[in-house]
Amino acid sequence: MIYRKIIMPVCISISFFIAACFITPSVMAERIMAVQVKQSQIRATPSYLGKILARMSYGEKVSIISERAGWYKVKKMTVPAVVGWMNASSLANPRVVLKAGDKTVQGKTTTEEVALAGKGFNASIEKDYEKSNSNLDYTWVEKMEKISPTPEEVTAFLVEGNLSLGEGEYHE
Amino acid sequence: MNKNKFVNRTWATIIFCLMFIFSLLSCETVQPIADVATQVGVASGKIGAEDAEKIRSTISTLSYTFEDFTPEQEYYLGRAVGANILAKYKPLMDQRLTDYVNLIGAACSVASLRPETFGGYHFLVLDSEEINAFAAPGGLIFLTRGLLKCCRTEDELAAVIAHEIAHVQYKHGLQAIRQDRITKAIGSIAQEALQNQETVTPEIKELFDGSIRDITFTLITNGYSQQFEFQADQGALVILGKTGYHPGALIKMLQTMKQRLKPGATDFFKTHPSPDSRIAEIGKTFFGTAQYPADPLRQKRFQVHTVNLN
Repeated sequence: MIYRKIIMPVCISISFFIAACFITPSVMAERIMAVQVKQSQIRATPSYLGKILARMSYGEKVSIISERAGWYKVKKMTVPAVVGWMNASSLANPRVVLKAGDKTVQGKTTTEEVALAGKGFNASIEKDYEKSNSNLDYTWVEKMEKISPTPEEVTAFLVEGNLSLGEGEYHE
Repeated sequence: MNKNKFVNRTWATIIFCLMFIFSLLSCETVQPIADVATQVGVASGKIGAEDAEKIRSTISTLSYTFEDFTPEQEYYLGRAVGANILAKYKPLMDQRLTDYVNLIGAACSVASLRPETFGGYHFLVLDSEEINAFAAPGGLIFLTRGLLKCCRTEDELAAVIAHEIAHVQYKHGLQAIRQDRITKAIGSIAQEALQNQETVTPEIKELFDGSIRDITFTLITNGYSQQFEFQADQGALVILGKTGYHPGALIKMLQTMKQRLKPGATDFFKTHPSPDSRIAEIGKTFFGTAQYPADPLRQKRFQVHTVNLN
């Protein structure tokens, strides 16, 4: 009697309570990602043809709302809190995109986050590498990086050539 | 219920409940809790020098892979590889052709599995008769004049470009770095961060130099494995198909390349599998033909932009 009325219900209730304490935060937790490329955009639709709603820089964080065919529906975490779409290749777990010297780095709670905060192979090592290899010239590397057709030019090029923006799944 | 039965049933219930809790708190849940607990100690300075040393040695013994390089690190490796390529080859001074190649590249990169890299995709034509191309990590892509001359149509030029983009999307360049160097590099970077060092340590410097040597040696001298080249061809077929270019153009370009490659040359002849073996491998997944109707508008602009190649 005591077992059925007290012990069993109490044990089951406690176990559900303990499980809920651990599981609920992980299920309910907001999924945060950060921009892992120098520049990207939040767009109105999940396509590179989508209207640009906001321009995003390296390290800026977004909250993930949903996912569709290589695109994330995101909400910008700073004002204005724009909601739109970003390509999955532009986003990563925030721990891999912290900026060196970023104030947020200090006080970070995981060694992994601290470890990857812009350390190692970065601008200062490049400077050093260039200095010790006098035969190298980064001039054309810099020039190359400036060659970037605008989205409008790419769209016009595709239309003129009877081509399409190759997004989504490919079926032969 | 007698006393023994009562005790047994109570214990059975408690054990069942504990099993239920632990089954829900699987490794995925428990491990981060343990990790965070340890890491909070480190970050808050509550872990002493001895423990920090233990953590450092743990970091250095972990096995890292090329996937552990951040996009930013990949970018700086790619720039250095690019500077090395440009120390050996001179750019072709043909702005119109360069812009055209970059438009095709932009169109193809959107269709790749990795449309965005840290610094983006950028393309340069090299003034060399060699039949060669190099894809530096992160998206700096170099194509020689000799390789462009193997292309008779825009679709074939797109095939060459798509193959190089596929090397970037699969991070083949980073995979050219020796495994022991990757482990040491990522481990050392983690240690450097843990010690909060601001200056470049000689060890990291040497690891950066070594990584660049590994990648440039593979790109320029040794070539990727046959498996990577076949994989890049498969990636190119998908990119071409998604963009609207004819995938058969890749086969056609390889047929032309076969006629132009000179035995003993240090270009694609040395660094790539033979065009015949690549065509045979492509045939396993692509059942179309190398014959395709050239789009008149694409053909017109191809001729306009490549007029100075010959």
